Amino acid sequence: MGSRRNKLEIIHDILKSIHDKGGIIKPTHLLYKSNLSHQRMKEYVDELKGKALMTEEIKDKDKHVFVLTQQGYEFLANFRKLKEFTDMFGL
Amino acid sequence: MSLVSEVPQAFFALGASFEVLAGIAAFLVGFFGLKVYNYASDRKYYWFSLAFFFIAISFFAGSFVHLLLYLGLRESLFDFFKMVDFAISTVYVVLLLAAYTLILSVSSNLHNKKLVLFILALSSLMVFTSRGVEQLLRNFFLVQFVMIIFITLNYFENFAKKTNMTTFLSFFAFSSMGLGHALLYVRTLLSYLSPILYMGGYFFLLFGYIILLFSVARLALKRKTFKK
Repeated sequence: MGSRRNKLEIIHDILKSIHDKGGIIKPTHLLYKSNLSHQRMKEYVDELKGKALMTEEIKDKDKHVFVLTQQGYEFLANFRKLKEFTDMFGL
Repeated sequence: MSLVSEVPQAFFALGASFEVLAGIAAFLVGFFGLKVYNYASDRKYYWFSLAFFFIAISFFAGSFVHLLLYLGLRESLFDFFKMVDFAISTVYVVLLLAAYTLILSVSSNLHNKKLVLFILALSSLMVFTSRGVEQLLRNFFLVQFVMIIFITLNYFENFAKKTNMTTFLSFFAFSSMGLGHALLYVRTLLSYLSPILYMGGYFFLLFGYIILLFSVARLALKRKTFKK
């Protein structure tokens, strides 16, 4: 069984799921991919939107989608360094 | 810090330079911690980076005092420099006690704020109720040594779990700091021993931070592997 993900890893998994779908994803797909409960995913999405790592947009016919921002790409690019840093100090 | 009079003058210049390097190392660790905090908003990253910023400030302050000693200003010039030395030494002790309490709490996953404050209060009382400067320094080095022992144990467990180079480096760095504090404590306890012990203590303490500087620089210089 894998170890419990920390907050940094969950953020990475959410943003990576959006990236893997070409930078744009439907909420239902994100819920499935992020492996979180609906409530928890909503909390994370609100936080990530607040930090401008992703945005919510309305596509055709009132369909909501999540879009990865430039800062989101930056986070993914730096994730390995940040993860190694937290591992280094057991954080 | 600046109270061992029989240490050769040249050591203070060397000490000041090493302390600047150690301060930079601590600042970089704090900076990385803050970066993680900005993304994850988890308070433990905030406390961790704050601890290293405290250490960075205390080392820069310590470097300034060592520079005063090297230039002979403290002894030969005005009372003003003695006051500056006293104020900086107090700030140095307070910041380092707070910093190591925070690192110990974060690395031990202590979430109880009262318990963290209790550790800080107990260690501060032990240091600041000392009789005279010599005893204050002795108690300070002892408290720091005990804290670093427990921090090092946490980092050993972290290394044993992950067995990679970065976790080994953090364990090695804190081991070196622990040895440094042990030597500083022994030297202040047995004042008839050679001042080389004092210099050795400082060397191991600062060497620990140089290892941290190396490992954080190694991390910062790694290439980004993610492609858009």
